Amino acid sequence: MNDDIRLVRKALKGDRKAFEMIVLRYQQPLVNYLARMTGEREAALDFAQDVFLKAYSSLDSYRPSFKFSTWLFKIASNHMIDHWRKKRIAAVSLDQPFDDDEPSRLIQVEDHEPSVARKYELAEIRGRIEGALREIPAGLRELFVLRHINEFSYEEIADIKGLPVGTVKNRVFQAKETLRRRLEAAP
Amino acid sequence: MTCLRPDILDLYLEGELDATERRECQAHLDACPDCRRALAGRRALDEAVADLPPVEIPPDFAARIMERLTAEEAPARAWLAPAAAATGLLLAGFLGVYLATGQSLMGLLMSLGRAFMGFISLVVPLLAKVLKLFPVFAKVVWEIAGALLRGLGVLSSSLKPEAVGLILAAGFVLAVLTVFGLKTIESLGRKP
Repeated sequence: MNDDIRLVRKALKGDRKAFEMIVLRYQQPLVNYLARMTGEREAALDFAQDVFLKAYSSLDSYRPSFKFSTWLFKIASNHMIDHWRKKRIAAVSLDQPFDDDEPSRLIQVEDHEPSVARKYELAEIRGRIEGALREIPAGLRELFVLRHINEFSYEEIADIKGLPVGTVKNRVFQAKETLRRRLEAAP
Repeated sequence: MTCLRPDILDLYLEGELDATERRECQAHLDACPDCRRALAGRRALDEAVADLPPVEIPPDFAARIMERLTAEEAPARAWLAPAAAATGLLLAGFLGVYLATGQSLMGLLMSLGRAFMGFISLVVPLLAKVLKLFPVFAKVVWEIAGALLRGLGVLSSSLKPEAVGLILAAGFVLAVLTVFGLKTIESLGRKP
């Protein structure tokens, strides 16, 4: 984190190499996130460029009391929301209310199938997972991706999305259950 | 014995339970094979998701971003260099004149203003007259040139080639004699 702050300070003084270091550091997690949100690699690469340019132009608004990664992903998340609004994609936005009640009452899943461990042979189901991920409503998918692919903590996701931690936990759980059901329903 | 809720199993896997909850959960798992199987299934899904390969990024991706950044900044700053150069030249000029003449900057500016206004008051009426007369002048020159060319055309077509050659030679001799004559008159005028 301190290294990020040092690079940001150098970039603010006009050191292009420092900003390039930031890009090199965050390009992979950012593209991973954007690719799962858009479902297209090329679009993800384009969006990642836009996000880095936005980050550069507003670098002076970054406050070192926050993690740079959460600040950057907040820009990325807002960029995705803008994109969906412009395209009027019928995606489930985080503005749309979810039922954040007790998760066990929300999703009725039979969780004790004996064959479940065998079903998830890691190498074989990557494609199915990617496909099932695309079918999860975007608002839930985003939180799931931030948690399980980008490995942000629940607190960091709450910072990025401006949501209470409990809400984030419940939605990530809903996303995971939806993913499980999709995978189990697939032939 | 009540089995553990799926969300509790997830939080257990992710290390999100506090110490007491974790101990209780562990105790139940030790005694419940169904919950252990459920936990294994959930762990497998977590691992499968975490094991998804990263999206391939072109090797020059960062360089492309830096290029785009430079390209987007360039138009915004393009006016800076000429403006800075012009300002620098102006200041250098003021300083040079100040050092050479000892005139104050304000006095210099006022002199420059007066000179500029004088220049404008002289040039603008002249320019207006030129612009007004230019079409008439151009028309007259055009017509004289046309008449001369037409006359030469008629003359050359009515004369034999030998006669044309003779006229040109006579014209050449006349021009040479004129030049020499003028020089002689000039030299005579200089001598006492």
